[in-house]
Amino acid sequence: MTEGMITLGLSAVLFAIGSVGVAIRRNPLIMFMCIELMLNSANLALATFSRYYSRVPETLPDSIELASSTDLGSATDGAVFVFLVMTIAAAEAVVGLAIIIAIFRTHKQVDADELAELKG
Amino acid sequence: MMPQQILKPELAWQGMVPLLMLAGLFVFHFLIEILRAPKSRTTGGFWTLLVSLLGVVYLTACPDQPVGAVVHKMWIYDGVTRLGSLLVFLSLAAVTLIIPKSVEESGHLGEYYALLSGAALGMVMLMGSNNLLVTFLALELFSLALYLLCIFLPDRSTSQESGLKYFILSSLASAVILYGMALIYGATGSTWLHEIGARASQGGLLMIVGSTLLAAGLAFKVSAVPFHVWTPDVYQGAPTPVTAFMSVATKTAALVALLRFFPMTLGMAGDTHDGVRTMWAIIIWSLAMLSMLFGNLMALSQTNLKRLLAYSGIAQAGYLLGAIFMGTPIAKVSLFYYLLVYLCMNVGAFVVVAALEEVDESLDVHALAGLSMRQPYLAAALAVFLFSLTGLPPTAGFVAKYQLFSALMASGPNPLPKYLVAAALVGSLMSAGYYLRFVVQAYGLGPAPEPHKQIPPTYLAVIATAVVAVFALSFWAGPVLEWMQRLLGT
Repeated sequence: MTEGMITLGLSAVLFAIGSVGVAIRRNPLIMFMCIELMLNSANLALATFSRYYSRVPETLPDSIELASSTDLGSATDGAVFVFLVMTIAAAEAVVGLAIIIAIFRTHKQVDADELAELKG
Repeated sequence: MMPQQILKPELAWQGMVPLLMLAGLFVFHFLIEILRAPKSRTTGGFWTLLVSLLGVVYLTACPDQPVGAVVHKMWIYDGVTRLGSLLVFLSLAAVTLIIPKSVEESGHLGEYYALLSGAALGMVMLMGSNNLLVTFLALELFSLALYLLCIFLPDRSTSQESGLKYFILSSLASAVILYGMALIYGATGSTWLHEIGARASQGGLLMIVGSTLLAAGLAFKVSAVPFHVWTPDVYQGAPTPVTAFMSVATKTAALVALLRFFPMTLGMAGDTHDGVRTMWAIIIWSLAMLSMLFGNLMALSQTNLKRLLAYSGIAQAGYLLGAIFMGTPIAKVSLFYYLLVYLCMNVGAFVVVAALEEVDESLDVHALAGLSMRQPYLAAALAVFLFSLTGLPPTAGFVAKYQLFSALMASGPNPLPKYLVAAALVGSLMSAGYYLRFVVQAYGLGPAPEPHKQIPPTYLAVIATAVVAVFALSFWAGPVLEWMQRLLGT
């Protein structure tokens, strides 16, 4: 099993864990952590592909079809993306935690099932 | 659109004007908030209004604007971007004029305007984006601003609930979009839309999964069924002007992003029977179909005016996705005409809701009884907007629906768009039921007139403008459509 396959598989597993977590957990903080996990799984995938396009031959198996394996794929596109996603995840953390704190101040708890005034 | 057009090299600064205006405004807000004397009133509203009106004038009136790629091809300024930006500037101007008392008393009016300009900047960025990186940055820029705008009423717990719901679900959508982008990059080795388009057909499974994830995430932002669950709660809980802005500007931006992405990745992929293309078409078609049918069906049982407008927004998203599915030049023109009309009638309806809230009227359908006696102007305006949303002549809603359906009918032998028209007609019939119910209530018998409460004049100005626009767009539909056709270069 190649190195690229392992990291891609790991990224898919992390993405799945994150999305299941958002679906089943009721604490906004945990849900938020799961979303961060999903963002970082995407980062891992981006980094893997970026490494692949930097012409490190053994990183991906032949079974994954890449359009540009003979074409010119750009390694920098993915690498730059990773850094910007990190910045954005930080900005999202600032806004998200601010919202959760504001809610905790008025409600004294943040359970998602207790916040259910709006429905219909 | 042909690739040669997009790759036209550098461009004069005129192409960046809408971006520069909003970016400048966004930064300027922070400056004036820092320099503002304590306890003095912020001037942010004046500047936001000024810039948005200047933007509207520039985008409508300025002749011979260059078309092409700017900022190292990261951003495209063409007819699509120009019309989309015009809609965002118009809704920004309308929203700046209607400030609820509760926001004004919160003491954070300056931040409110700053966040609104930031959201508008993100939307304009998104519509012209030619690179997945810019697309993602723009999406996050307007989403982050909108989360904060949703919780802007600290004394109302529904506002906070809506903010949290929007934040969790919308971040989830962003994460899904990002993963889709990562897979598309993996399949094609590029984040440039034109390069992705050229290589999409050889992308294989990675490309199919990636673009499915991307489509799902954007469908969330458009609030199409089955990604609509957040819409009614968030729309009801958020401050009404923010809801108006979200319902029109966000929808426009996300639809234009879909419109740009859909043909760019697929139109030039070569083989028409290629897997990615078929899959995208099926996704957009089913989203349109489901939104039209279920959006209208769920709206039937609504008793709150604001929630009703949320469900009607889901149904309207379905009609608009139908135009994106067609993708023909005539369908594009009808899409933008529909969006312009939708802006007038939907912002108008939400401003009526905001005005009702300001005079402490309940938004429940039964409490609306006798509104025509208590607030005759508001009741009349509400009736006009709801008639237009139903699509009754002589309002512009009728012309918009007519244009859209005829664009869908002109599909040749392909039966899929015709099913969409059938679904849209069934949906429109259902919508007549729930819209007219509110109009009938408003004109029914109700409690005797209370002492007249004053509606702020800016509200009335926005409502009056929207009413005039709803009729004017119908009577002068020809010139407007021709103008849009010329801008879109078809």
